[in-house]
Amino acid sequence: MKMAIDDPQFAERIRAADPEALRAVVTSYLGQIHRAARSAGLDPERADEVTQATFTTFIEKARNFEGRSHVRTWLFGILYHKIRETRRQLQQERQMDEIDDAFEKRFDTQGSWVRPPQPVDVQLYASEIRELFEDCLERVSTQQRMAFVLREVDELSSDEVCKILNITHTNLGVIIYRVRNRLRECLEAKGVERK
Amino acid sequence: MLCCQEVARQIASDEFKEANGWQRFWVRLHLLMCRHCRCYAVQLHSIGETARNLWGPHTEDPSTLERLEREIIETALGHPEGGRGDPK
Repeated sequence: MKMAIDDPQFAERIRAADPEALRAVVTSYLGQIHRAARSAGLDPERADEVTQATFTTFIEKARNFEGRSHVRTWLFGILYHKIRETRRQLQQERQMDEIDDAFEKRFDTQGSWVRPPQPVDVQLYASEIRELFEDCLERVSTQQRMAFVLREVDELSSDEVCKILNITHTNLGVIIYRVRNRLRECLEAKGVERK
Repeated sequence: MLCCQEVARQIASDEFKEANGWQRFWVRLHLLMCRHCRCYAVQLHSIGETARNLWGPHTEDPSTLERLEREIIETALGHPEGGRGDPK
């Protein structure tokens, strides 16, 4: 199934709204899209709704698919917009750039650590951190969250993530740097450290 | 020699992953000598692992996916065995 989707001629079938091709896309990418929706901080019901809305839009707009990017990139692009709409409705969008200040303050003028990171209990990370992690991610914008998940969990290339989020490589670097530092600072502040 | 702040920035922004041989060498050398930066790098790695544990492929409930697939195909493509409706 994946082989067929990766075939350049598959784009023609999508554009022709071939039901079999559209169904193959749903089957192949449903899991990945649903996981990304869940990881965006939506509750299970909203994650289901956003996933359905993403594929419905994909099917409705199939005739506009130009095949210039991979169908997965297109799907993630639709998903990103749906998540932003949903989170905007939930009024969860915030500006979070103060993390830059928090990061800067950890170093002196020579760039050496003034407040070095606290050693972290990796076992705690693995087993008991779920709620803390979710809580810390709530403070992160949709764009930061998507960039982080697409890179860390889905392990997409930076090229593909840039296309999905419509940003430059430089922007992606800054976004990833901010979300990782925000998570790290948040977890450290919550006392996730070796006793 | 790179300072800690620059090493931390390169690791957190993924610049290190996409760097050339010499750039990577200097970061690695710094990590060998600096326990604080090593600690920072381990923490970022742990954060990535935690995310994969929370949302990786193994976390998906197959029955939820089956239900969603059925609903999407029935709603957007018409009857599961039939053709699709007219595009908007």
